[in-house]
Amino acid sequence: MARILAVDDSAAMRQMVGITLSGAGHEVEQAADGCEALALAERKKFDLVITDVNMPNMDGITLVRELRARPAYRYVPLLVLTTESTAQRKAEGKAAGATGWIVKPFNPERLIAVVARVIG
Amino acid sequence: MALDLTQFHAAFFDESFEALDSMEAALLQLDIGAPDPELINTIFRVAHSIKGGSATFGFTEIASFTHSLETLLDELRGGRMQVTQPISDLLLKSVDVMRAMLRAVQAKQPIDMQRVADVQFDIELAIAQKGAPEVAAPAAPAAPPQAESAAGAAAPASRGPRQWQIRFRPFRELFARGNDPLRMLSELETLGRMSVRVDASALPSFAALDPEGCYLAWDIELEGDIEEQAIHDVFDWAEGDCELEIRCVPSRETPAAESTVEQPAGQHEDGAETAESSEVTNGAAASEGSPVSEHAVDALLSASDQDKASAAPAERAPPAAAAAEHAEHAPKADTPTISAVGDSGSIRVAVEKIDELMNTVGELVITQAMLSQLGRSLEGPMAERFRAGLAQLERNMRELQDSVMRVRMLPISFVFSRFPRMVRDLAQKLGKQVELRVTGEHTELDKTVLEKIGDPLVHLVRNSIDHGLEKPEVRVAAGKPPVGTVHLDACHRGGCIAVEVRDDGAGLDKERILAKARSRGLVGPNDVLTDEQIYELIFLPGFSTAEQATDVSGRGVGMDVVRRNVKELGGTIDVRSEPGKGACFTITLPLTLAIVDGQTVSVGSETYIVPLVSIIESLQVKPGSVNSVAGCGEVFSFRGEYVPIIRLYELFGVEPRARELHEGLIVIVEGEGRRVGLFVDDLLGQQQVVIKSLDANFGRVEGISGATILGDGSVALILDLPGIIRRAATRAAA
Repeated sequence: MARILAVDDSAAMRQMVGITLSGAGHEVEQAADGCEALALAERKKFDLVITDVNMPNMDGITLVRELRARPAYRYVPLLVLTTESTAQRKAEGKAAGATGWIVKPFNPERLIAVVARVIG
Repeated sequence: MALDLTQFHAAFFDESFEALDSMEAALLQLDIGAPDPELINTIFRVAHSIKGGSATFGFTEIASFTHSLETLLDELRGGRMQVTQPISDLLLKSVDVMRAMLRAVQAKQPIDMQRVADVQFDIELAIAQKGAPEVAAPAAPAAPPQAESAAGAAAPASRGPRQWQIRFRPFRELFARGNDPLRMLSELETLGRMSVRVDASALPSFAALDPEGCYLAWDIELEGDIEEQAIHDVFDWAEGDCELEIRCVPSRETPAAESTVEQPAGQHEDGAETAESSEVTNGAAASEGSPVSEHAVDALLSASDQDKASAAPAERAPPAAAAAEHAEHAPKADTPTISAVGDSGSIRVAVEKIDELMNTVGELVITQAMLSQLGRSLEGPMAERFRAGLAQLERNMRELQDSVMRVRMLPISFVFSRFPRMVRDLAQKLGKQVELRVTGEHTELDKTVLEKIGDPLVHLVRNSIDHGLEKPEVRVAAGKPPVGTVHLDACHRGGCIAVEVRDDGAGLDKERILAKARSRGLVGPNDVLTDEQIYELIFLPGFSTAEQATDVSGRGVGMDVVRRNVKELGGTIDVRSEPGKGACFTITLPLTLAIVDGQTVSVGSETYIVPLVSIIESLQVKPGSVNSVAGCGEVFSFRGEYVPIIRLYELFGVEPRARELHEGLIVIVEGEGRRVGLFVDDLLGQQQVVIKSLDANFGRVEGISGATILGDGSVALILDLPGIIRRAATRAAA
């Protein structure tokens, strides 16, 4: 069981991630954009953050960069949800400090598998 | 685990439609040539979210279309393409297509793929014309990782157990992205039989050790029916943070097809940092490093756990620099930026729930009124305190009722928001230049009213643009600016909301209206009418001044329908016009349909409620001023007009106190453009009443729009005047 923060501006995606991962026994909290996520992450320590890239207010890449800059999140896996699996996108994510990425579309089984991979 | 994705569909549709609305709004604000990057970002985000969602929920047609659209938007976002009028049009069309597709999928109807394909073709054409090479394969799957090539070819898909040799040498900063070799090794182990040897040769002396660095490397042998891609997938995220060699030894001692992935060395920091006091956990792994087999993994497991433990103190005591950075970043992150359209802290609630709430509050109001009445008749020492409590209760009830009522209220912008697009399209079609001005869009009104006001407003705006505004050259000739203005305005006026559609066009053409009315026989050839009376003519059934029914207006829906719709909402519509200056239509509506201002009247032992808006006057008639007219029953002269009298007691079969007209009162009311006098015993008072529907229990009763419960607990019927007039007319005819 891990505490996971799911960040996506689409409530449908957020819910899907949330319900899938809660169903797999994790404790999931949701945030609608980077700012919200950052505020949540500062109040509480999460074991894993899964974030969308394109979001209003603060995008996922900035969120990853901000989180990495915080001591509490230096080694926490940060996964980026992306529709583009181009090398450039990945490099952007990596440069910001993302642990890895989940390429959309994904199904619940795949999501659980990926999370299991980083939570161990 | 089989998760039913359909449970997320409703949310996906809701937010997608909302997102499309904001995308449309953003598109309409987009300046040709000099677009606001934030707007383009908003538009891009919408397409992006819909693409992601639709792909996830299995709506492949939508995903494919949005993919093309997203490519185009990305070009615009990157400044590689310019926002031109045709592009802007194309984007708007895309919004329509996406909306149509979503609607179709939502209704489980087939998608009009021809239309989708047409627009998608246009999009791809637009990108191609700009000369972007990547359009060639718009839906190209993810590029396979670079590493596959050599080995993929050399070690063909010959199935069967294979022997893999993997050398994994992470760079020191591997941990910095939250990656962990342990996870990768455990994952590899799930693929097949694995043996691991750790290479600790890079481990520095204790004093030079950076506890947060990764110094170890691993040589792994993996045996099993494993595709090379599967191995690459494991190390996917470490790409760029490590050196990775994967060799296949297909059969024993056959020269191995080799594939080496040399990642460009990342910025190697020199490991000269001072080591903190910490256990040499990596060393623990190193000392045990030589044996092969799964035990090595177990050892690594424990080593890595300790590694985590050693990292923990660092977390608790952040270096001063990091803390300072932290402090600097935090407020920046919290500053709210300009939020996208439609960002609000709101929740979605089913309308039924609100109606239920409303109903309960209605019941409470009634109970409270009953208690109040009871309280007034109480005597004794406790009575005063009881009444004080009741007064408090009444105040709170009123507030509660107001709050609940407000929950149902929505800003009229929900209706107004569809106009910018419509006006733009219409203006283009008609070759007119139109500026739409919208004010008072935050004015709130009841959801049910809101839903029904849309169509009449659309009609009025269409009329203004089609008939009211002149073509640019005509306007210039008349000394007006070429761009015509249509002004939508909403405001509260008393307990009502007034919505105005105002234009600065030619105004209503009195001569033409009159001529038309005469030719239709609506007005006698010698009748003299005031301006107001002439303008009123356009609301008559079967009246339409447009010489030809254009594509825009004149779809057989006339102003009479507009007026009827507005009346059904308990509202009125008026027109003012000044030749050459423009026309103004004003719709006045009640704020809500759930509460009505009523006049209570008594007939015998019954109490009825007459909606206050329909009452013109109440008066007592002198005996003798009433005449009987064949086919019309009784009429009396009211300001030069003969008004038929409806005796409510006859209509409803009640025993009245007053049978002679001069003993009771006549309430002059208006309904469906006709005036009648209702004969009642007495007027009781005015009060706001909560309408309770009778339909569920009695079906629809002609002449009754609902009922309410009065303070004394008795039920009063609310009169529906158009229905009463119809009912009386059929009785008179019978």
